[in-house]
Amino acid sequence: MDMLKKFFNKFTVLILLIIVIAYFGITAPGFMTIGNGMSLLRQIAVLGILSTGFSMVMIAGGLDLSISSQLSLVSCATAMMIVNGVPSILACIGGIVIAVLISTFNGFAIVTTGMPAMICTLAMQQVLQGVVYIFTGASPVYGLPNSMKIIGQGYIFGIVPIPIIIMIAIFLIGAFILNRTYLGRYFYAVGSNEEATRLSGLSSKKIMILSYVINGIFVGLASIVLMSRIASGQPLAGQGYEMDVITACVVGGIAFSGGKGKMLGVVQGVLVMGVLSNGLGVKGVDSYTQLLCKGIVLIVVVSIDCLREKRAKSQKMVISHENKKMNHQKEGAAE
Amino acid sequence: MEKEKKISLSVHHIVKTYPGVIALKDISIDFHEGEVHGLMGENGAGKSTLVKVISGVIEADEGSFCIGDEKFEKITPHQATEKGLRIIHQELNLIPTLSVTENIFMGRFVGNGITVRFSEMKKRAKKLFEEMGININPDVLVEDLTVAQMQLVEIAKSVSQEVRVLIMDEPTSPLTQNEVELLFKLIRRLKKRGVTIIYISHRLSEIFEMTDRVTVMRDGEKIATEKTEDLDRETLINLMVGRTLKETYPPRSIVPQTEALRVEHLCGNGLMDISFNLKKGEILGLAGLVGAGRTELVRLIFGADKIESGDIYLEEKKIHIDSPAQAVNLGIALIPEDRKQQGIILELSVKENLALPNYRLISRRTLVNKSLENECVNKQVERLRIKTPSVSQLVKNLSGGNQQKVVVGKWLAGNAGILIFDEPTRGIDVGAKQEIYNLMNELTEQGISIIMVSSEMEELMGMSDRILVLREGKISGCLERSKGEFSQEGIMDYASMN
Repeated sequence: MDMLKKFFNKFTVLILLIIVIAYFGITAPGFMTIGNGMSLLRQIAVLGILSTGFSMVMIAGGLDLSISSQLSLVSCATAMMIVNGVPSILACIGGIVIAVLISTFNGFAIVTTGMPAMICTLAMQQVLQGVVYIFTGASPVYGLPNSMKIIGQGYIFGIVPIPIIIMIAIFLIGAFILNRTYLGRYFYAVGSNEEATRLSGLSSKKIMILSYVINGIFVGLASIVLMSRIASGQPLAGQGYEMDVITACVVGGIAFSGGKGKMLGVVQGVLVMGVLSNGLGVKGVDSYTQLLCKGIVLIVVVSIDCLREKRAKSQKMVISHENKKMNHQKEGAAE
Repeated sequence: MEKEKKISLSVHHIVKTYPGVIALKDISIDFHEGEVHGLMGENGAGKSTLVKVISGVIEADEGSFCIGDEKFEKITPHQATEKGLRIIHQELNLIPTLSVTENIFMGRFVGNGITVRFSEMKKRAKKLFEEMGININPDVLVEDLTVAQMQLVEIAKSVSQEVRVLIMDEPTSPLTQNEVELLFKLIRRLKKRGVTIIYISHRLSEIFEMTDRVTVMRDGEKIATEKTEDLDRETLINLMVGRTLKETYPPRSIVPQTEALRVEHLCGNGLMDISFNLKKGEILGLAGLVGAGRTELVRLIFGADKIESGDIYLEEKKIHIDSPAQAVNLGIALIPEDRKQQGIILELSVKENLALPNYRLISRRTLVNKSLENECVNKQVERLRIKTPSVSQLVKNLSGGNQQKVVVGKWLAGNAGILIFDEPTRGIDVGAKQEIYNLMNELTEQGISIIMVSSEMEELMGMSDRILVLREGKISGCLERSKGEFSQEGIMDYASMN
């Protein structure tokens, strides 16, 4: 019984993923094909790259709701640079730098002033969206050279889309950072118990800001993949991505309270989101209903997460009381 | 006579004052290398304040201290750590979602500066545990450990670094007997290495078993530093409590007769088999050391925590209390310790505070009836003699004593019959204390019963008709005023662990 529970706890997301895939496989003809599989993976590439950076911010106890506007801004800015004659590579690097600067500013503002990350980045989301509208006049930036489309639309060996390769590489880098490096472990430490981290002689503020910096790099990369896939800079390209990313991370087991979660979980979370939206698409469900479904998934998963935490806490209290009781019995026996 | 002993830490004439309170009065103590030095005193005697000064959490107003040969007037926590000062707090400073190994090496990971060498760290952690005789898997996450195991990890973390002075604040309270033995073994080993251990504990038996010398503090003053072998239990208790009463308490005139509340075999929240009764018009004091379960007991009766088993009778009728709302409906009210956070709403007026829990009584058809509201509020202001220019004055502008009256008033307006005071006079100046004592006395004359949790011996003895003493979640004794059983030594004897 206990074993079963443990097994279930450990593989909840995987089981969920298999159920969702099976459901669509049976009910939606055309879902279980290699072609659809590849296009599903290509669809989630941007989500996957974003979630990798976002999970680090969340593990370190932060949040960045402005990634959607960053995505729009960076893809438009990069497109504008390329259209205006800046060499593609320089323009891409420039785009990534912009994303890093914005993210770093977010982290810095949140950490130094102590304002809630949610408010700060929500405001930033508006600021950046405003900037995009002002610079583009709210119209898309077209005219990218064909060479620029390879990143988002090209294939390797004729069947594997390049965005998938990039996403897998980013997942591996993310896992490496989180599991193997000092910084990654510090993210967990800060998100879990900031005071204890500080008392261990580490600069908790610096660590938190660095989580935003790394997030910026990944947002920049994702923006370029997105721009390349839609072959233009769209002022609303990133809209709604922040919710998808949060859902993917939370489904994947990254705790809202920080300090908890693994890269492998994030991968699973991203897949669940991808299968859900692709499967609904293949079944012919319209995008409004898809939005509704995703929202429900987020609420359900977060409430399960919170309930679980609550139960774990109360169990811990019971244990410490049991300990005390045992102590008494022993003392009683000694007397 | 102890010339050969080297001094590892000494404090000289440390003074620390808070508004209205002198927390430390001219404290000077020498701590020797390789000694276990007990630090004892009642709650609020100044032990923790002293530790905070030495470790750099707070700054002293006057005085200095030396770690080794270096003299400091103030120190940062980081510097203190560098000088080899380690503290094991009651609240643990570990990172729950990381492994035991990572916690031990937090801040000084083994690796090349970028990537961590987990295998090497794990090897070292294992070796450390073997040396210490601890049996904990270094791969386990800290959140999956028991509190006792966490404590051991914390100690291992301290010991794995260069340590000169190790301060332990009540280290054994979460430990089981076997683990206590293990801890003592560790302490002896550290002592041999020349480490100074400052051991703060309420358990007298531990003090006698482990320490070489004991310093007793009381009311922010150092009372004595003695060799442990020159002390016995009685002398030590006398040193801790021996003082004269300073406050004057109103005479208790009424003799409580009928029963208001009875608790039978109550368990839950760490408490075991609590039975007692409270009579109408009685003040029942609850004594005990920090962690003995006083607040926990009060929270159970008030429905703030879950009762596991046992019964509560209100005026001979069995009642069920699952939530504070139910307790309030039954006429049981809690006047919490933290007045400004939990008792009143500072930014609201006297009137609004008094009316807050009573809107059902002063409303007609869901709308607040202004004249009923005024009547209700004015009645309490008069009855309790709340000194305020008007009822629309904001509560934050009132004195501490009057704020406390507002807290009481809001429950009396709802016809509360049993008031639970948790530390009724904490943070209140002497004059206002007097007011509150008089108020409590008058309330009992009106037939209201009071349970008073207090850490102040004098207050307990001055105000209560009976005093229940709790120790580690059980009632360890009951003293009655009418039988002349009240004495500080008596209470302390029941409250201290043998």
